Amino acid sequence: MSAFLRRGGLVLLLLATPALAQNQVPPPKPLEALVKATLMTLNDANLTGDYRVFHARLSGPFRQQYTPERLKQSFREFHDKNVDIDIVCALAPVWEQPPAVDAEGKLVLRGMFPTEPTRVSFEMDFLAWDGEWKLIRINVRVAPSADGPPVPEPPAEPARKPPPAKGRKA
Amino acid sequence: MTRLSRILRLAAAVAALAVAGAALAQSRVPGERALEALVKATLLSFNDANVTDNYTVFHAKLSKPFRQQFTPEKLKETFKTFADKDIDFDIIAAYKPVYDPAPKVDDDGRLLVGGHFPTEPARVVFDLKFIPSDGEWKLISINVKTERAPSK
Repeated sequence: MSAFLRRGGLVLLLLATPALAQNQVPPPKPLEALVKATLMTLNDANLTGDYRVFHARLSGPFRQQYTPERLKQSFREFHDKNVDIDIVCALAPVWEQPPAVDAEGKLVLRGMFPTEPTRVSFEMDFLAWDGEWKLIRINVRVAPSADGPPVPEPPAEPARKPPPAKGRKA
Repeated sequence: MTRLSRILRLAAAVAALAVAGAALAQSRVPGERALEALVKATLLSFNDANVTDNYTVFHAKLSKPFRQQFTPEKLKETFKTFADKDIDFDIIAAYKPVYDPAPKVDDDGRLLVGGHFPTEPARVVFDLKFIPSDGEWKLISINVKTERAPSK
């Protein structure tokens, strides 16, 4: 729980041809677990600087486009600032829009965890992959909550948005 | 949800124990949320290792005595049953832990946390021990098993 209050923001985006399968939004418990487990895997990678496990849990297209080393570069700010968001494990997510499966079959999740004085916002898209929902896009931001006191840290670096993937899923 | 279905099928039990000199510092049990986050984050790191068969990240999060005694390869061997049976219990992230007995810091300064997650029909039982290290609680002992939940 060390450096949770630090400010940071970073975007990682990958677009690829989504699975065509139509799927339903998981029930509340598995949905909550999916969000938290995904964030905790990313958090472990950020804290240790080892992105191989996070990489192994991504969808095929995401894995193909991003090596563990490239993931490390993309999330360098989280690692460098030792941002630890494990407290979200003990909170329920607040959805900023209802979880939905879009027309392309992606599970689209937008929400945040109401931690104070900073909150953790997330945007995640998942593909139906090997019988599970696997990550295809993630954007996590740790920033002061609206009602929280100002955090004396410089603004986060501009988000980096890699170009859209051209490859298809394996 | 296959993760959920997997947990319903599992019936494995594996334990790993590392014993080392505990830190002498006296510390208090963390607050409710911080304790829940510590337990869940620890078990999810362990679960990630089992699911991916890569124990390097889990190893990096252990206390130094645990890391020195167990290499990632030794951890992999110790928890082989979890990986072999494709056990995935990340569903615990959505449940509150039930502590039994109450968490405490023992005379050696170790934080002892035991209990279970009331998932059904199998529940995840844990027995974790932490020592203070670098201003945080770091794992020194872990014992996790899944077992059929008692019938209501």
